[in-house]
Amino acid sequence: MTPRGGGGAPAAAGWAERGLAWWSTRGSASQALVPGGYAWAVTIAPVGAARGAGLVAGLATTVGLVALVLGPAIERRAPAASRMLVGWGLVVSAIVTWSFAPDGVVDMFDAARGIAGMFGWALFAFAIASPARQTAALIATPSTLDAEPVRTRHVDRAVLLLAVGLTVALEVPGWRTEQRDRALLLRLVALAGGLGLVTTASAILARYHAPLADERPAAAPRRRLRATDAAWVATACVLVGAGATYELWHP
Amino acid sequence: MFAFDTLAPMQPWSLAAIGCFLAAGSALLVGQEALAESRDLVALYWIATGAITLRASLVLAQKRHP
Repeated sequence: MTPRGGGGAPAAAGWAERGLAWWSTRGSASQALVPGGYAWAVTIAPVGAARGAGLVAGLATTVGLVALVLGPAIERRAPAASRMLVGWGLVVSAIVTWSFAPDGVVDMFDAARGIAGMFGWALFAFAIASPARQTAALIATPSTLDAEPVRTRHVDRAVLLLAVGLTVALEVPGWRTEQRDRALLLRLVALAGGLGLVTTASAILARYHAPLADERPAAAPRRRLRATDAAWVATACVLVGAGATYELWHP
Repeated sequence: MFAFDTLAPMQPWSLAAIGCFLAAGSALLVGQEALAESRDLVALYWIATGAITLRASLVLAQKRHP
């Protein structure tokens, strides 16, 4: 007779491994469920459910939760639509809820809750912006980790730390502003900017590791810049240079 | 030394993309600071610059070194 305790630990480990493997094969919408739920619970739900919040704020809060749950449900049939639904559904829900919230509700947010919400949104941004369709190919199995030089992992860490640091830094001005409307605008800009930064960092790293995931010649990107791409880069250089010159000469 | 050892073997397009990414983040930060100080036009300029530079960073990230 086999003792009951003898097989418990391996069975539990098996369940955990299978659960982790199943979760890692899901797309961005499913993987963003937990951090999105956390961000919703910390920053949207208390505002929408507060006394005097109004019908619109309450409705927007509910829509955010529905989008968060509905996205993973339709992920297998429409992965791109589910990602859009979860990402923009929660962001729009936050915007509408905070815009229609009364003054007292917004003022009840202290620094601790603000920081908790900031981390929740950063985690959600990272989860929803990661290139999910390449996730299965880029899963760090022991063989790929051994084959990959250590410096590439340093690059990953450096770029991700940079993205997270910039995203967190974008939130700081919003917490120093007393005016409610301006603070709300600052948080919305920080939210959109943080999503853009994390999305771009994920895209840079995905392309940096592309040879590991896809070796097909047909999928190889072009080596030269097209005219429209060069125009984007030139415009960015001119704008950054002109702005920096202005800030230095007209403080 | 760590930065040099990490960045030196990288492909030029990736380095350029990361440089653009850093510039975009800095532009957005300057825009946020300007917005907090009620310098709205300056804030609009820097936030738009940040968005365009992010797009340029994405464009550069799609390229592959020969």
